[in-house]
Amino acid sequence: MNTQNRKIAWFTAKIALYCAAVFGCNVLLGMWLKTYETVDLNSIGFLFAETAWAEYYEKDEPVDVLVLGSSHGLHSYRPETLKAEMNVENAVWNLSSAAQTPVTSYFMLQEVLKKNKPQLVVFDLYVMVFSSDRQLPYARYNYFGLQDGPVKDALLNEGFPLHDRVKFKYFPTYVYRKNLRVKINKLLGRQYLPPQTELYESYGYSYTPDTMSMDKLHNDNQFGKFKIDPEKLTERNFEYAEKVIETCKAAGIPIVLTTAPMPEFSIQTIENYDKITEKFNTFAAAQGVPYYDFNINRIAEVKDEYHYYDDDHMNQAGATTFSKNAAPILKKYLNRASSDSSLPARGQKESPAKTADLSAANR
Amino acid sequence: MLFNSIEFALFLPIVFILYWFVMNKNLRLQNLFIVLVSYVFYGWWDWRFLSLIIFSSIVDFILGQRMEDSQKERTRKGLLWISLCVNLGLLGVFKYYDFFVSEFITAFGGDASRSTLNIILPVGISFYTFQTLSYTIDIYRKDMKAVRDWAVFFAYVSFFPQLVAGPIERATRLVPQFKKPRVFEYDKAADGMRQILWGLFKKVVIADNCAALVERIFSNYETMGTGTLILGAVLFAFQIYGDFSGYSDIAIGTARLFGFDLMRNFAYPYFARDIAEFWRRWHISLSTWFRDYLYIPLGGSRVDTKFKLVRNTFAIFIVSGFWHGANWTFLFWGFLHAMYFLPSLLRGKNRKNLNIVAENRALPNVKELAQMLWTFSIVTIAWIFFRAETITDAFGYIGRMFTELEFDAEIYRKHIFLLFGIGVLLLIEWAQRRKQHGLQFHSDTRVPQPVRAVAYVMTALAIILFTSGEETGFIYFQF
Repeated sequence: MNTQNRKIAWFTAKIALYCAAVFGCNVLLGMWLKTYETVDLNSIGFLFAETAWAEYYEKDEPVDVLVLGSSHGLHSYRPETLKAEMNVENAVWNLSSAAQTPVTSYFMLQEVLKKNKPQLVVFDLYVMVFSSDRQLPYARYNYFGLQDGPVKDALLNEGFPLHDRVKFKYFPTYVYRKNLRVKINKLLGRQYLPPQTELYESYGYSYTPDTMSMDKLHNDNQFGKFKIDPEKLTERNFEYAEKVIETCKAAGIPIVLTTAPMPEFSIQTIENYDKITEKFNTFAAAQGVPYYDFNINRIAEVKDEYHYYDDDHMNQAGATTFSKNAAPILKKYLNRASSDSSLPARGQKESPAKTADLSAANR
Repeated sequence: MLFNSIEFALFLPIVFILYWFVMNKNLRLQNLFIVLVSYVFYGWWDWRFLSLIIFSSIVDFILGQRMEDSQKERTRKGLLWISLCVNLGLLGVFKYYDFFVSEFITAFGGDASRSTLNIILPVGISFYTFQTLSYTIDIYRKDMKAVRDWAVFFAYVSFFPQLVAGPIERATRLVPQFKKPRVFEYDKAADGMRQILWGLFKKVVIADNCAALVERIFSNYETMGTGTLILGAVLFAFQIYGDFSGYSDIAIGTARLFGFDLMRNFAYPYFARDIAEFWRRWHISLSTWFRDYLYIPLGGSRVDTKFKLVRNTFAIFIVSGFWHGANWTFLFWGFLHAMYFLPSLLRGKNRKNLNIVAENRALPNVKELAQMLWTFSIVTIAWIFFRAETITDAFGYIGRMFTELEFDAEIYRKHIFLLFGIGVLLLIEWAQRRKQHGLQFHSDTRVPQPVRAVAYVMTALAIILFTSGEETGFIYFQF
């Protein structure tokens, strides 16, 4: 080895040493930051996705209705009400979770299908989660909740894009970086746990009892601050939404796509909501499955004044009222082959005429 | 490929090892390797636009030789014009066509949407166009010999560290480096790594974190008051500085790993005491390009009338504004800087502050501090025009800063980490203002090795810890 090569080798070795030091510190710091979730939040039962999965495995009972979707779906479908109103024998589970993308939903469905064949899957579509392929910030909560097995592995290896997977596996400091502030607050003896505005009920469902003031809804509405471009929704999310539908069809399980209500004022604030609903309508029609946009076909009993805790999500009263009123619509799709001859059999493609009716209704 | 991406984190060590251990057998091989990896680097974004770089390289490679071989002044001038037309023509089509067509049609009350082409702007086109132009102009001026080895020339045009956002290198400086056998210098490479680290800190920790808040404030300025609007403007000043100077640091540092010295692009511009000093410290490679190829040919400051002096000043600043993009906001930004600059130029005081502030002292005196704050304030006001969607928005933003007198302390409290980060940046750069970059330590430094090692590890950890999430592109890629 000549002098120059020796210099380069020494330089490379030194850089590698620094990289190792940084990597080691990143692991240690990441482990410390992670304890906010594994210890602090866990102690107050604030990790709802993990709590839901723990309950799911513990109860281990048959599932008749399964709801999947983001926090929007989570706060809209109350299992207890749906079960009573839909008159099903077994459990109704709402396994929606914060910012759950169709990619995550697909793996949640796979986990449920391991032991169950629900009579109906309600798949709530919320436009914002279609806008990014990132899984790391939220899907990890479901990942941690899942029991070890092929579905859990597939969620990480297939569901997480490569970038997210690398960060998740090797850069815990990055993954848990948002916990720094609270960990510092804890060290300084300050208030660090989040206010418990949200509570876990059961069967995956969590709720907020508070109601948003109309003044806040009108004057501090997030939807006035940005424009949602339906053209920027990612292909990967639609691809996995399609996989959710195909999986249900293959298993002979009816599936209904919905968009649960948001405050009427928020919908009016979104400049191009018609374009968004049209996008989902077209998607549902192409898949031959029904789609109900409850922001277009509004349920009169759901009111901005009483039923929302922010400009996007329902409170407990809203979820109860909405579930009660949505149940008769959803019920039609339960066990359709045997109970209602006007509806297509499980897994059979929805007739174009029927799909067109629904699309027209949503418009 | 972004410097702040996982792809680049893998690309750089692979290229480094192949370059020094496999391609080091001969110079031509190393240059060809640089061309290849530069094309991979650029093509990662969109391989179709590689054709533009290759076309531009072929044209100027041939024209340069013909120009040198020709004895006739008229032919030489003709060849220069061809180079100017081809390069500026490409730039004009890709960058300015839509703007001019839509402005023209709108001026006559027509519907511009039917006539514009919605052309995608190729990343870095303004940078490599200016770089190749400097080559043909320098040959025409007989400041340099034409390059006869195409590997050298293509490597000069496409050299990946500075291909997409500069520094805009002159052929007279960079081409000779491609002709010289490369020797690995340990100190140079080590300092290059430190400069990369510092650049990443500025980009990832400062710029990207400012970006989200700046976006929120600028798109909702109609609902905000003085305190928040000032915060938005100041954060944008640090966003663009962190973003662009961060890029330049990474580019210069990366080039040093391969044995090249690129020109300095930023020299702590926010410590400038007047606007002339600011322009000697901000985007130096572009300012000096305009100075050498536009301002001086127009007569510069050695002109016989004040009118010409004013004309030349406005020309350089407005063209500089327009270089940034086809929008009236950039033109107005250039115009505003010309207005700031003129008084000192007319009074002959534009070369008053040539050294770094408080050169032999630890702290500035009150006068210097006031001068720095004033310069930063007027630069920040100009940044509002640079950042706003339209000139009307910019005036609206500034208007509200003075009329909606309210101070929302909550937003400052909420972003305390970011403000702390900016404080750290300023402190480190102040302490290092006599050096090339924030983490440069000479061998005679009094800072012990273990302390330096801890500082590097902490900086790297800060980058992981305070990254905003997405791998955000660099602002200057759009120019």
